[in-house]
Amino acid sequence: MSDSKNANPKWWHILITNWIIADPNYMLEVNGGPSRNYQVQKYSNMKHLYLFGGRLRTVKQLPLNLIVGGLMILLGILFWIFEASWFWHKLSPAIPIVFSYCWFISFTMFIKAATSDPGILPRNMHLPNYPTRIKDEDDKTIEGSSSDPIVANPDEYFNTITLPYYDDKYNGVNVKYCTTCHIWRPPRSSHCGVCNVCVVNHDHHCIYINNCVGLRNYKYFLWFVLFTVISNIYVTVTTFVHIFHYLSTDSNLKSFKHSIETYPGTFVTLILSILTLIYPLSILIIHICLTSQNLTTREYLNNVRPNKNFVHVFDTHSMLKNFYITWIGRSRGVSSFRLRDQSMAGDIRLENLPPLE
Amino acid sequence: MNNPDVKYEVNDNKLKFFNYHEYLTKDYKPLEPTDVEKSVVITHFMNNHVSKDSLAFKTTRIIRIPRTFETQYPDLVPQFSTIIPGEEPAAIQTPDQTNFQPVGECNDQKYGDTSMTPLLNYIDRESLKSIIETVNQYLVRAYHPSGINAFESMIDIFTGTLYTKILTIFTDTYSKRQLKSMNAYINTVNEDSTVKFYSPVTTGFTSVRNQVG
Repeated sequence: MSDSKNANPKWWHILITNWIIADPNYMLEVNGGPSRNYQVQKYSNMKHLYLFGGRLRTVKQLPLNLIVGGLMILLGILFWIFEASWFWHKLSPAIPIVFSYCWFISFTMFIKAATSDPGILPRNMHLPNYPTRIKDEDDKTIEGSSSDPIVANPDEYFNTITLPYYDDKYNGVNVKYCTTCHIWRPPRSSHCGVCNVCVVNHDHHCIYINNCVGLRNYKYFLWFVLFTVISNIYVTVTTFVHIFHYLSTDSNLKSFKHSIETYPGTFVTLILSILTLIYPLSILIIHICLTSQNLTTREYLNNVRPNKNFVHVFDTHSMLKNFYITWIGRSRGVSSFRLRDQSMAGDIRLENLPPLE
Repeated sequence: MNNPDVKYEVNDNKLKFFNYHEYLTKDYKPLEPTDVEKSVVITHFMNNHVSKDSLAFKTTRIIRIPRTFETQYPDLVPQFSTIIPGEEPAAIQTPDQTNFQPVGECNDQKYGDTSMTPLLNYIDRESLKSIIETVNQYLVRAYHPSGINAFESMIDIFTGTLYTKILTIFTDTYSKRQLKSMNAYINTVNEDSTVKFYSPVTTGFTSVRNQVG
């Protein structure tokens, strides 16, 4: 359905829409069509946006992640402009160097948490029988007919199954079938309503990084929050010291007002760092409490808070072990659905199938 | 000792494992005329790893091996059940049945009235068990939160992921190398066997698939 105007799109147009920022809903047809998995997903309500050839991903929501990234860069720049050289010469070069390292780690962890795969499960792996209807990305039926009866789906696939766990054969783990993704989800996995995918060990969907937090990026998320708080406290303390340095004997300044007038940038940095400390610090405290019990945010909200007698089988009952598993030990593994692979024609993982009814 | 856990232990409340992929249906044509209304157990499925227009789709079926959660850290280390499908504690069984016996036809495929899998017609028990156990060992090495995995992940964090970026120019992380070895092992197994195994990576570690003709 291409008119003569779009018959030969320019190379830079293709580069932008098919590679730099690729939205599977708006791919340009090129020489026989898109060829990689990230370009041909046909699900309805697809919310993902792929950057740089499917290497990074984000979600089509309010871009709060850009504001968060912008604030981090701003705080770093303010420190380097107003504080770095004063501390380098007055106290020690170590102070700006340590801050730079903390800021660098915090920023890279932010990028990793915001743009990497949280552990998305491939779709349509466990269909109970052959689907009679297949739809395209606009939810129009392209195979079968809308009036075809939906093949009777098993009742068993609509129950939550409880299976024995490693050291608890009475409480066990829950395995549930996702009717949208057509898979039997492992325990602790959840379907994210915002991203419209199932995520392994789904913690929560974070609007500030515009991505889900799941098995594969939880560690990056935790260390991002921790290093952000450390960097923020670092800036607060250094700017505080800088402002109140007038109290020491080797300063020419006489009063607080004089200090602020001499170093207005430092004062602004101090206020900004205090304001931006509050939210990350509260998130850090929440996640320290959760990880000390090896609990995801979802499990806490859905199971622990409403039910005081909930038994959480994944808690190893040792705080150190729980911290170790969540902060240190967890392996990132590999992606379950390789976006950059060449797409296979007729790959059922990419088909838009109606939810199981 | 007067331990109340032992004294009052009621074994009936213990959970039992079964293959959650299978299900029952009454919607079938019996192979032999019978008056008894039974259900057949759907134990094999269409092959969704190949294109639906291909010959392989029409001639092969998939048997799904479920994950087991009775190992350490089952949410981090995916492990697959080494019990022959159909012999699980809560499977639908008849006494003394050791192989698949078709009873009915549904959508041009034959099914039995128990959970017993037709897989044993194509591969023997010991081979199946040993293949799954080997795959499980690879997965433990790749995913267990200790040793080299933990060390590499810590270095990755404290170098701001530069370690992984530089390492992948030459080789892969330990975890990825183990998964590659697992895929190579599965390819070797597939060369010698009539049953074709699909790597659990392709299914997101939700199940291991065996393709049979």
